[in-house]
Amino acid sequence: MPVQKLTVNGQRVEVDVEDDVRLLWVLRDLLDITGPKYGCGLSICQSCTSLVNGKAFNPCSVPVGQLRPSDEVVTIEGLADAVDGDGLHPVQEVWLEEDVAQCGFCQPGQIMAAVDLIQTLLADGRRDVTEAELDSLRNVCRCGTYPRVRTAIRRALAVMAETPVFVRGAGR
Amino acid sequence: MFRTGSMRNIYSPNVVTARELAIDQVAAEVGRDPLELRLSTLRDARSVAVLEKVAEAGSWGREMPAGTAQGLGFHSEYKGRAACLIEIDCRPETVSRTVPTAAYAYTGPRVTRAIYAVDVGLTINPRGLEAQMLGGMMDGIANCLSFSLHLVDGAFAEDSWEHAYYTRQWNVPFETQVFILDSSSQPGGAGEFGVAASMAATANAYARATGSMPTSFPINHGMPLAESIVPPGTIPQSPTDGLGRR
Repeated sequence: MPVQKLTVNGQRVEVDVEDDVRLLWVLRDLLDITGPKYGCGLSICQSCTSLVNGKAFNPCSVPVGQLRPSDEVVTIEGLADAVDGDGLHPVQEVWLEEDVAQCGFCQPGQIMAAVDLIQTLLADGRRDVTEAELDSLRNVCRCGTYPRVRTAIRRALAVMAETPVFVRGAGR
Repeated sequence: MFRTGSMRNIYSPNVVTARELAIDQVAAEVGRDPLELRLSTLRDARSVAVLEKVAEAGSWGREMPAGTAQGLGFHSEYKGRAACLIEIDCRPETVSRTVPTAAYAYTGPRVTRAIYAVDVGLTINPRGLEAQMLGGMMDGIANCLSFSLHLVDGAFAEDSWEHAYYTRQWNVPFETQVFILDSSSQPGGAGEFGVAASMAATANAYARATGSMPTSFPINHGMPLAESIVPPGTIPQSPTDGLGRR
C-alpha cells in the first residue's frame, strides 16, 4: 500500500493507505483525529470542514493522494496552535463567550468555516461582513444555532480586525 | 393541510398555527386588530404579558413596504406561555433570490426579524433558555416555509441535506431577540417551546404580506427540488472535489 506523507496540525505523519481513500477517514479512523465530523460524506453538510493552507475544505471529499506533504492541514484540534499567541483561537474564544454550541456536532465545522470567512475578509482589508456573506455559509445545524453563529462571527471579526491572526499556511 | 411528523414539538406547531391563522381570520372578519383581539380574549396575566412584550419590542403595527408584513403567534404548553412576532419579506426579488454557494436551493420568502417572549416559570439557565428559543424559532420558520419530505413512488425524494431544507443561514432572520419573562412560578419545559408560536407567527405574517392565507405547509413544498447529485438507489462514493468546495 502507498505511504501517504501528510502535515496535520503541524506534525508530519505517514499513513499506509490507498490514494483514493477520503482524507476524513484517514483523519478519523487512522490518525484518531475526530474533531472533523462525518455528517453526509457528500460535501453537503459541511460538518467535517477543516483548513488546508488556511482555506476551508471538506475532508470527506478529498482523496488523500491529492494532498502534497507540504500542505498544512489544520483541524479543530490544531486550530489554537496554528496561530500565534497562547490560549484558544479568537474565534473559539468568542464562540465560548456567546455560548454558540448546543449539541455541538456541527460546531467544529462551523468554527472552521467562520475562521475561513473572517480570514478572507481581513485579507481583503474588510472590517465588516454583509448579510449575504453570512448567508453563503452552508454548514447545516439541526439545533438551529444559526443566529448565534452570525453574532459570533461579527464579534470575532471585530476582535481580529484589531489584532489580525492568520492560520499557518494561509495565503499559500 | 398539515402533514404531521415526529418533529420537534410534534403536533403543537400544526395545531397552534391552524388556531392562530383562524384568529387572524376572525379579527379581519370583525374588523379588529389581531393583537387587540388576542389581548381581549386571553384570560391570564402571563399570557397577556408575553404577547404585549413581543408587540412592544417589535413595534406591532408599524408601517412596512408592500409585500412585507408582521405576524403574531401565541402558544401555551409545558406550564408556560410564549409569543412570537415575525416580520417576513415576500417580495419577488426576495423570494427568487439565489445563494451563490447553494445554487441548488429554492430560497423563497425570508423572515427578516423574529422576536420571542417566553415565560417558563422558574428559569434556571437564561442563556440556555434563550438558545432553545432561538433554535425553536429556526424550526418554526422551517416548518412554515421550507422543511418537508416528498414521498414519490414509495420512496422519499430527499436523499440528503441537499434537498431537506431545514433552515440554513440563508433563511435566518437578520434580527432575533428573545425576552425571558420570569414569573417564578413552577418550572416548566423549554426544549420544544420555541417552535409552535414562531411557526404560527410566520404563517400569519405570510398571510398578511401576500393577502392570501396559506392552507398547506410548508409553503415552499410545491417548488421543484433541485437535481440530485446522488444517483437514485445507490450509496455513492464521496465526491473528489472537496478542496475546491466552499
